[in-house]
Amino acid sequence: MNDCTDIDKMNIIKFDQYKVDLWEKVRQPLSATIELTPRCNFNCVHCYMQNCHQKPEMSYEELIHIIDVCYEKGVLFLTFTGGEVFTRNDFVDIYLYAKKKGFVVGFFTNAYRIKDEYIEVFKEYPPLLIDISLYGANNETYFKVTGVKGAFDIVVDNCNKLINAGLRIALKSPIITYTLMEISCMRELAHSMKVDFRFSFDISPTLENDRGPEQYEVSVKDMFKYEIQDPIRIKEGKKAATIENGYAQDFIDGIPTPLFLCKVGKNEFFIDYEGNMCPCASYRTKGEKLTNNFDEIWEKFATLQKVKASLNNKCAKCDCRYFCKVCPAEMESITGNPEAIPESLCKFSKIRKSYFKDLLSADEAITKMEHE
Amino acid sequence: MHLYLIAKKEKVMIVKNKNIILRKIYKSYFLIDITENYLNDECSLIEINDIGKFIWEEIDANGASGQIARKLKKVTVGAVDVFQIESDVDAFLQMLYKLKFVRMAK
Repeated sequence: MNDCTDIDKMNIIKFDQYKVDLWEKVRQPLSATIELTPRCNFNCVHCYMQNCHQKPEMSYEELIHIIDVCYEKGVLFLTFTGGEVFTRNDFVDIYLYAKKKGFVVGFFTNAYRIKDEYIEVFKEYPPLLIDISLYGANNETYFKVTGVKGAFDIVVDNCNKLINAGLRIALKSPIITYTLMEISCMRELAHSMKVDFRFSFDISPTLENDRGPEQYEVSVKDMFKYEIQDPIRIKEGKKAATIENGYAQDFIDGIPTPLFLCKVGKNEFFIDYEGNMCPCASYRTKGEKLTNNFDEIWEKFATLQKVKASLNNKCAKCDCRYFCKVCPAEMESITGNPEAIPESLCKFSKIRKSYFKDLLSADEAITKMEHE
Repeated sequence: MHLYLIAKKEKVMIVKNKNIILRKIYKSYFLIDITENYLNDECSLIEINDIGKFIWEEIDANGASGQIARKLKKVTVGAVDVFQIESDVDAFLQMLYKLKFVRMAK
């Protein structure tokens, strides 16, 4: 036991970078996302779970077991997702259970089924963030995307109720062809609510690898037009432009380079709606049923950071690697090969790189994309 | 005056706020306020050491820093002045009290 003068060290601290760095170094599982259900009250045209909505969900007891395992392993942050979490009648019970265990909890929702009584609970035990998906800026677009009439008005009404309750919310939108022209309206809506807004053009095949959702994907040229107007994306692009791609040179020089450039397997994991523990939401193919085998699975995830790109890996030697979003986990899910690349996107990545390195103007870049 | 003396005088107990949860995250202990609303975009945790954890776990059982200090002395290696321990325990309790992590209750 320490000397009593250590009491002096009991000061109030902020959750700081030192801890984050330490936890990363020792691979402390820090954050888990749990897919509470495959079910949803919306039926979105682009949804990667659109064929799963009728599948069974885990029982309350199964989910509590998973939360207990997370507690034992020292996980601090829990994020609940679906499907739609509010399709579970016991969602608030699950949420409260996690809160009272001392987790810092947030959740994703479409904000359609938020009842006043739920808001009262959240007021008493606030979530870290209620991350709300928007599917347009009016009822007509919402209906085209979700198949539900009048949903936009209800969602906006619920957002305002949450804000008025003093809860922390953010708005985000997966942009598809139907919603492309409404980005600015959604941004204005968020601005009027004084909450953050972000959007993404990422559309994935369904979990069964049906590529139907891709028909709603925005063209690369249109994505780029918005990208160069979005401060966050401009910052990311400029940052990428400053990175010397040492990995590419290493690869060319014959030095093994990592396959994954992200932090997969370090501090986070994902539990899918069937109770499989996966490295992340995009890497369900590596999922294993979580029972009492957490350590065993977690150790397997540790190997992901050690996986090296093969000699045939085109991305590893590509000097545009930081200008495209090809994810080995997604490619493995889609093609069975983590090193597969969607070649059609390579030429666009080259143009993006040229733009962010100031070798092309915006107009020149757009014209080039139109010709590709 | 020490918090436990005030409690004794007022004939009240020092009790834990039920919304403060002790968590262990990789060799560190944290007190987490589950009613925090995070509106300042910050997640603040209070880190405590082994002694803080000991005191926290003893609060409901003993309710006053005098008793906690005597228990703490029993498990402390080496010669440590019990009055110093008492003073340190009280300083910790005062901090918890200011944070509303503990309160006085009949």
